[in-house]
Amino acid sequence: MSLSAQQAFKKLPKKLVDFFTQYPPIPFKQYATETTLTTADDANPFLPNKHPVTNAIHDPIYSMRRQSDLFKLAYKFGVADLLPKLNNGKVFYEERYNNAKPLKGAVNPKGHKWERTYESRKQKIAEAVARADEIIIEARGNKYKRRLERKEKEQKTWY
Amino acid sequence: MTWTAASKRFGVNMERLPPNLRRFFENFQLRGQIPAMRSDLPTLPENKRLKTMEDWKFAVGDQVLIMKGKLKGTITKIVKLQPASNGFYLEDGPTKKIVIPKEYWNQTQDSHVMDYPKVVDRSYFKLLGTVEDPNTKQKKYIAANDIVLRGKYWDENYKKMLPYRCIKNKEDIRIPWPKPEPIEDDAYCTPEAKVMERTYFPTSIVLSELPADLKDSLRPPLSKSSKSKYDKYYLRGPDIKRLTKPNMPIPEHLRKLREEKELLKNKKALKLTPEIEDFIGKKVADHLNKNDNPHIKAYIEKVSGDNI
Repeated sequence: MSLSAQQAFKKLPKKLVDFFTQYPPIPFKQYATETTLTTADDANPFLPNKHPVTNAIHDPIYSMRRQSDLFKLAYKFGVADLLPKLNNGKVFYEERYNNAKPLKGAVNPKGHKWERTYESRKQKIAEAVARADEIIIEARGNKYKRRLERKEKEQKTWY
Repeated sequence: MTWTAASKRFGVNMERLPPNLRRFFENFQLRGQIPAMRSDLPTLPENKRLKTMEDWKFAVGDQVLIMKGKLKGTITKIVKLQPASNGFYLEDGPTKKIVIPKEYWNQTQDSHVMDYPKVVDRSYFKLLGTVEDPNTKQKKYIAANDIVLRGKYWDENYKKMLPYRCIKNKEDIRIPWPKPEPIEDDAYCTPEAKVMERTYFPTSIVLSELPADLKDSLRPPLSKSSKSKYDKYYLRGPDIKRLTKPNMPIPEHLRKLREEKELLKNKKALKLTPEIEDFIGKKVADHLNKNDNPHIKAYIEKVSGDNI
């Protein structure tokens, strides 16, 4: 059964109705996106505002928790975009999921130590294998060098 | 005549114990009680109990509308207040079945089980007033969500100054205090007319006709209390504030603050225009009609405004 506008409005929780009574929805009234004077006509109840006489910064009329609660409730009734801009660039649900900063660990996993040192170790081994003869000569002296040279000279070929 | 009046000085003052220890003793006390006799609402500490009629905002005899439970919609009366828990007994209010040992039976009682009234709190009911329709002259009930106290007048029934009880945000509608049950004088009472009869007429406002040593004869002159409590008067904070003249001119920020307070006081309850209601309603209808998730539907039903 589809709801009419009047029936749907009655479905709205008291919390939201009270808010919209105090702060009419966006097309009927515009709200500041930045801190203004507390007496300003477009003062945003979700942002801290400055008192014109005392210059004191007043806390937002709706605390961070209360504005989050209000937004989440409004979202479930499809009227979240009628609320003024939230404090500290808060976003929820789909928007939050889409704009989420990817996890450092997921993008660049640390890995085990053997994984991290795999490349360098392989390179080190390859270098060592390439220089194997020189290393052995260093360790065992000229006798081995001569043996190598002899081996090369005495190598048999089919031609 | 015996002089064995129990002094509070030597007993355990529960109010002075730390909360966890107090709870321990209270639980200890509860163990010795019949479960049926335990209070429905928790016992409050002395400083949280309502004392004056202004604190309570309700009195015995008030007509109320029950807002919760099986009896929702019943119109009934407040029969008794329970100061220990800030609770109320209602005439046709909720009851519970309790089992009573034979030692505690009434004379008319013939069963162990009986219905006993439950104590309810302030959120259980709304105060009822009556308003007259200006056209039809018909009287109808009006239930007050909340009450505010405004002004003061001499109440002949209670013989004291009382504030008017008004409905919040509709302060032109007043709900009068209920008429208390008349107190029957017994044979030894002094009649009211006799008490109110004036017998002393002073002849001068400068010289007192009372003898100078009258005060000493009224209270023991060597008693501690008669000196400290009645003779001394110190200027306290509010007195000093009242007696010192303000700095003129008043600083601008204070003046603005006063103006703002005045504005807030005179602020009227706002109302949504039908245009905005229709706009929001259409948006909500669009959203809800599209949704076919049973879980979300159940949630919406639970929190929706027409459910309350």
